[in-house]
Amino acid sequence: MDNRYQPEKQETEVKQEWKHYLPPTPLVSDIIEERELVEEQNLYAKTLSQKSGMCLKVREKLQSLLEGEYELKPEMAMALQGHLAVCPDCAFEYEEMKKVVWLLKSMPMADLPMDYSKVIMQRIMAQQDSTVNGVQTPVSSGGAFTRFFTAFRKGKIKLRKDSDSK
Amino acid sequence: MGDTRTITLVEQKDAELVRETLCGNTAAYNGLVVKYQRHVYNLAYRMLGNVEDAGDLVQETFIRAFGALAKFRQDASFLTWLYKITSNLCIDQLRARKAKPSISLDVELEEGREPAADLRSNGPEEVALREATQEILHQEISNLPEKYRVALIMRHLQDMSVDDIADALDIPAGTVKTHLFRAREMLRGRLRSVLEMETDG
Repeated sequence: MDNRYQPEKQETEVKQEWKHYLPPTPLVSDIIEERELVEEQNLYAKTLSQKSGMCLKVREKLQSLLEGEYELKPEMAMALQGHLAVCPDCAFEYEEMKKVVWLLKSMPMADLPMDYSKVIMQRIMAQQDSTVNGVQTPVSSGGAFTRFFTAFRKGKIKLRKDSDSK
Repeated sequence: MGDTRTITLVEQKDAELVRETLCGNTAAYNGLVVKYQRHVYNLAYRMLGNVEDAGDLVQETFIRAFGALAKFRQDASFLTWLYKITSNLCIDQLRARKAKPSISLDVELEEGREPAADLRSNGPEEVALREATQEILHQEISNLPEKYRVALIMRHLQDMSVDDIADALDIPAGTVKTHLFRAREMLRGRLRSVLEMETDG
């Protein structure tokens, strides 16, 4: 078939097509320049990783700065502000954190959909009325557990120990 | 809320109402319900994500609190104590939800995420935009893991101090801070579109 995959032909076609995009055979001076560039990049990467290690420490402390914590010493606060002035990454992160907090604080307190006090007091009264001899017992919707726990504490229910079963 | 535990006038008044209730004056308890139901509702609403469950939880919290009122330490904040009951009940309910996979929370959340994409292209009015932002925030808070969510809500929505949160959740203050840190980091990542918009506008 005509449209069957023909690797050799296709490869040549690709080479032809890309030929003018490929750089010319490099000169020795270019190779040296490129090596220097790579070394420079490596050095940059190294300093960057050292810097990010520093930044990591700073970012931990930024949370304290954000909270305005009383245990944050003034000199530490100064040092942090100093770092923020020279490190755009940390400064950006700090600004974003501040924005998150600002957004949260600007969230309004939700309105009550209804006044629950009547229902609550009615339920409490009803529970009180149902208690025997007017003795107040802990009110709970999961009464079963409370009853079990009370009985357990009074010694009415005992847990079986391993030695009992033998 | 201060960092040192000094009893405020509000707390003194609350303690008085608790004492009256324990002496048999149930009406005094009504005063506490009326005063704090909205606080409890807000914590429950942000934790559970919907009005109905939050309403049920308000009732449950105050009924439980009434039953356990004798255990309330009179030198502590009544509201913090209420929050402790509320957060425990919320976490119980969230765990029960997880145990019932038939209720598909994912669908709800997926639907809730949609406005994030529309927000920029719609260019609606300020108010609508604000509402949409609130909605996204609400959804993203609901998507946080429970322990991070509760700390975040208490700190930034209920405006509680780290120490009070530690007290309410029975965890060390350092843990509260870690949870807050993680929660904020997660939100920052998920709210990228909103944050960019805040920068633009």
